[in-house]
Amino acid sequence: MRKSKSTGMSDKASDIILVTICTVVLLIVAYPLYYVLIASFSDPYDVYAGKTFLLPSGFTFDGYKAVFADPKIVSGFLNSVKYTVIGTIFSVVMLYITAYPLAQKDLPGRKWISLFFVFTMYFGGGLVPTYLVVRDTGLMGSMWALFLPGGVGVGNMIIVRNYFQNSIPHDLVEASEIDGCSKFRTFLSVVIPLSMPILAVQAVFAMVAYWNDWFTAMIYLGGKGEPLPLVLRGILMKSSAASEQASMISGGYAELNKQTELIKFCSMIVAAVPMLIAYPYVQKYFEKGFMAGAVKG
Amino acid sequence: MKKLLSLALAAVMLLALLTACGGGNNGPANSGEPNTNTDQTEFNIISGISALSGGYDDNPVLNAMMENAGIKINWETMSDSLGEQVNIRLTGGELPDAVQAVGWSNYDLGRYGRGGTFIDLTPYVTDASIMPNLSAILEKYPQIKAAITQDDGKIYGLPAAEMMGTGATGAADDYSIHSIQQFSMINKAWLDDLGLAVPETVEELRTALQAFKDNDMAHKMYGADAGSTIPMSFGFDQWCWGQNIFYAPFGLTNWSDVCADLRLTKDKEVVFDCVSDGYREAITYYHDWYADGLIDIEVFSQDDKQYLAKCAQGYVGVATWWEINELMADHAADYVYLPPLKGPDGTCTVTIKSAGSAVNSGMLSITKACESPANLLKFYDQWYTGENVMQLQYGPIGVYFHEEKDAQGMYVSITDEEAREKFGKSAGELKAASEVQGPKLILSEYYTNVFHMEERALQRLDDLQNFWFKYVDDFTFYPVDCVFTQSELDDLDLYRPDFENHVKEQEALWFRDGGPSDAEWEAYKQDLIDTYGMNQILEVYKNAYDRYAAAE
Repeated sequence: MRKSKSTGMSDKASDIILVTICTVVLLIVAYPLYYVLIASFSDPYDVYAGKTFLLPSGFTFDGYKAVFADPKIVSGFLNSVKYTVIGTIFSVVMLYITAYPLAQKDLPGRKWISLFFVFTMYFGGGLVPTYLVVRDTGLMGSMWALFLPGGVGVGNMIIVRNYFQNSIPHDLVEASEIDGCSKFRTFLSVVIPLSMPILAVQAVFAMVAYWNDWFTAMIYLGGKGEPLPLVLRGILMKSSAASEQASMISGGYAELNKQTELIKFCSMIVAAVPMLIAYPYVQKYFEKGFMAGAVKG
Repeated sequence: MKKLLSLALAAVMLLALLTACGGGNNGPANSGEPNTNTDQTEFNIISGISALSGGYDDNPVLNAMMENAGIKINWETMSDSLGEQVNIRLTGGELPDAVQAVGWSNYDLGRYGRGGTFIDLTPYVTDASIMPNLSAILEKYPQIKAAITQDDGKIYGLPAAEMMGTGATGAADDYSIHSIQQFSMINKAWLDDLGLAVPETVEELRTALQAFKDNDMAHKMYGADAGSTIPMSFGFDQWCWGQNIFYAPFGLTNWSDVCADLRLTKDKEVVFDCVSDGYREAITYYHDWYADGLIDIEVFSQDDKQYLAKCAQGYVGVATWWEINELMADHAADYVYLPPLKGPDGTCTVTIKSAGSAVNSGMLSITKACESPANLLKFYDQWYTGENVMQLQYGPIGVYFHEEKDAQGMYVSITDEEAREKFGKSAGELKAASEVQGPKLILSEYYTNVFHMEERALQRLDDLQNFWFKYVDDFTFYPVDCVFTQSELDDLDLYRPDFENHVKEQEALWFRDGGPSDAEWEAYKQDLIDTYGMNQILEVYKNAYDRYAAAE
């Protein structure tokens, strides 16, 4: 914690270097995203010919028009929000209620239960058996088919368990019990607030995974309640089917093909923007959790 | 990601298959007699569908055919990932009565057929009381029956094909519309400006390309940014936009057919082009062009969209595609076909391919869940008339076709302008919206007595016959309908993918870095035999061809 007055020059130099490095890294990370953004407004052939660098070329809204012309886009968006919210809550709850007991050293059979969980990491039934289970449990066509089969992410569960074991001071838990907390109250009032950082990380993982998921939805939902990625995919399929047909029958493949390419860029933006907006709101919890410096001595 | 998933899926399927096989054949015995049960009149069918289609429920053609057959079909349609989803369902034992438009390979058909999931259709397709139309076609064209019969002598799927060949224009010999899959083209306006004639030999083409480059023709003629001229572009070993037509001066055009680089010679010998001296010469020769910047540096990496983009901008002097207009867009009028070139010693060998009009049987299979196959097949038999299959392929009479026939008694399709005016979509989109995917057997004779072929297909056949075939001396090709035994299919499955990949990779490396030294060349050939099973692959194709030739 050095104050910066005395060695002004070298501090300034290191500031400049650090800022430069950070800016370069930022540009490297941000440019591809920016590129997709301007590409979604540009003539795709100009994009492929390398004419878009900083500004869109041949400015057009055609791609977005095509994407938003599909009436399913709104329901797709709402479905995705629903699956993401419910899925995120569900998977975080599942993580907590499995990881916390396993973090207790006095849990009977703890070793074997852990092994049981870990086993599933290495040996999965695969798609067809999972499909059969989902079908025979009557989950087909229900949104719970998206959450229940992979309800506990075992890898993440182990991370959370280790966090409980290592980063939540045992003294603090003991202290709360001495003060008269029940086990349950300890979990609610001490453990959960203290584990905010890991909760936030797990929530982000789950959120991104559910937001992007289309395969499980395609297999299990049977065309009902399609989430956004499936809707976007459908729009893209339609456009590319149209250009293929054009190739065979009426000509104009190149023109329709442009549309398809444009839709690709637009759907990337449409799918990514909600996540980009949501991210900062979750991110603040990453730091918040660290403020709980309740242990003294 | 999708590839990963499908790979994972394939692995799972394989496991599932192993266990399923272990269980033995528990389906009903596939006897030689048709099942005469006619109780079932309502059927569930999973089918592929165009993403642009609104569904099959209201399709007037299908509904009329159902009424004739006295059955009702509940369609479950999927426009993509059909194979994946159907595989899961079939392996999970959740069987519809029939599966339509998946496009099973012979390998899949044999697997599901022997496993008892798909029933043998042989007794039905030969029975004129159940399938009068199809049985008559199979009688008339025994080669179609041969092509759909698996090596165990059974038929697990109904035939489908689009025989859009030169025979459909009334020509005596029927060659596939894809016989020559790449048409090379050159910018005539640039040549004229430079005072050059359309090249006839490779050396002349080299001179022209050098001139295109030196004078930056795209900049000069089309006002593109300075330095944007690409003298020659293509996609390495791509289907209709590959470089293979340019190998003609060296005695081969190694386009991909039943197997990459496979050729049946005039003397009916099966050989691989990729071990011939001409092949080595060609790659060595064109490497110089690549090194001199006459060939687009991106030929190995670009996809068709990037290629279309470049060509549409007017950057490219020489290119390949299956027609000029689509590729060159606004500049199309400036381009002419560049005929196959002559080599230093006058060689110009163009071989033709058969792929494209092949008959396949992967478009409709009936599962063991179906109680009355005869009822269902009476419905499918109606697919095998010219008028019906035309409507299934393009759209109903009154929508895609005009009600009145023309003077020759043939149906005339709607034009693009009429389609836009009447239905607000292009003719292609209209077709996609009303098309039914499934076992459509479009015989070449239908194009001369039922309906007219599409303009652009006719144009292409015309180009083939009147321009490109002039450069073909020998019209021998490896027949695409050869039937392989299960063990041959296993061999192909084992060796072919790696073989094809290795050859292609090596070809690209030499093209980029310079042709092989003698030692490298010998080592490469030896490696193909030792590691990549070239002789085994040759053996399979040779045996299959011998059986085919003997049957004729």
